[in-house]
Amino acid sequence: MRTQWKLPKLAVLGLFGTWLFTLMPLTAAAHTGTGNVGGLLSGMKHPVSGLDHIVAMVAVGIWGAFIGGRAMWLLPVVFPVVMAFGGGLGVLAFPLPAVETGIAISAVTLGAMVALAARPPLWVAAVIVGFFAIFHGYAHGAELPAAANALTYAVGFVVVTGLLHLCGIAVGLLVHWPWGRIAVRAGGGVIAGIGVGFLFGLI
Amino acid sequence: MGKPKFLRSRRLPVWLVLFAVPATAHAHTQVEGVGDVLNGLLHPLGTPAHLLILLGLGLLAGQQSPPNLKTPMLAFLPLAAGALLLTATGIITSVYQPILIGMALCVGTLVALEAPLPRLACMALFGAAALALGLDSGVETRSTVTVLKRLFGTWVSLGLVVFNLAYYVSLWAKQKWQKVGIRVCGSWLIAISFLVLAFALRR
Repeated sequence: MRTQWKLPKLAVLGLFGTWLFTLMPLTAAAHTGTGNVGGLLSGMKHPVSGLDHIVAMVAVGIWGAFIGGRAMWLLPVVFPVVMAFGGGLGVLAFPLPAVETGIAISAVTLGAMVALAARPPLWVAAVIVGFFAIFHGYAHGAELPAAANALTYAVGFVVVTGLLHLCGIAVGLLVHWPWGRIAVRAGGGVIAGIGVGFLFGLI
Repeated sequence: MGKPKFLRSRRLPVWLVLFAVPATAHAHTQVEGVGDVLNGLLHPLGTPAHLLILLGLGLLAGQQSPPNLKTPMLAFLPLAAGALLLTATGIITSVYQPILIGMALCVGTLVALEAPLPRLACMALFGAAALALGLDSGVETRSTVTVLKRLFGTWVSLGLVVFNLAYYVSLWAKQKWQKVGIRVCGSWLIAISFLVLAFALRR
């Protein structure tokens, strides 16, 4: 039996409002990329600065919700943890080949999983998500601005990554309706298509 | 059974938004014209590394079942006071940052695992965190009265943040999705700490 998840409207509103206001450039330091605030804003902007990143992270959430049960929260938990490991590799300039290709393939794979309504065992899904998280994390870590506060940068990009997963989960929950199931699978196809576009340099 | 009173409040989204406004993040800086005690109160809130640990401790204490805030607070408050007073002697005024981040990593891992803490382990963890936070909150000024006022403010702030967070989490996290949300926050703490540790190693 599928678990019923009911988010109070107030919690949803609060979450959205919090996210919205953290994007507000309240101080002049916001545009410099330095210090705590600059680091936070740089970190928050990084995951949403590339369509390939966005679609892959949303796909993680959609796939988790699509599989249902524990996958709904386990995949979005695995992703940031392994992503941080990849980020560490990026910060330490550990050589990792074909990072951008890996990111594009992540969008193709995760989108395809949703489009094909794949329901592998939970550990297989976690390994797939974790594997691709390394590429995303590496890109974040390698592009960390030298002058930014590393801690607030990390806070920014981890929180926004989590919110992208949350967006994906919200979309994925549409599978409770027959039309939603079709829409979600079609969305998976679009994500995979975007991934193919990035893979072949069409986007 | 209805929702807790604080969840029914219409002010909740406003508070969430206010806590997220990035203009409040000024690590280790003195706020002019607000007095020494208030400066001390603001210090942990404006130091990202401290805030990470405090968030983790609050979530960890709050997610324990059955709720028990007495044990962690009995270890945390006296040791924090002792450590803060030690900084007043000038022997030690700061802690090696990777130690603080490592502590946040450890606490985040326990939150993500929703690990039940035995009494002794709980006291040891909260005691160690109190020492680390206290010893890293040294005040650089020659006036003894000013130092003591600021340290008092910091001590109150450390206790209030952990206690309030733990209290409200224990009150709030009753449903499955709420408990999962707290574990997701733990995974974010792991990710943030891991990346910052890598950054510290690069330096």
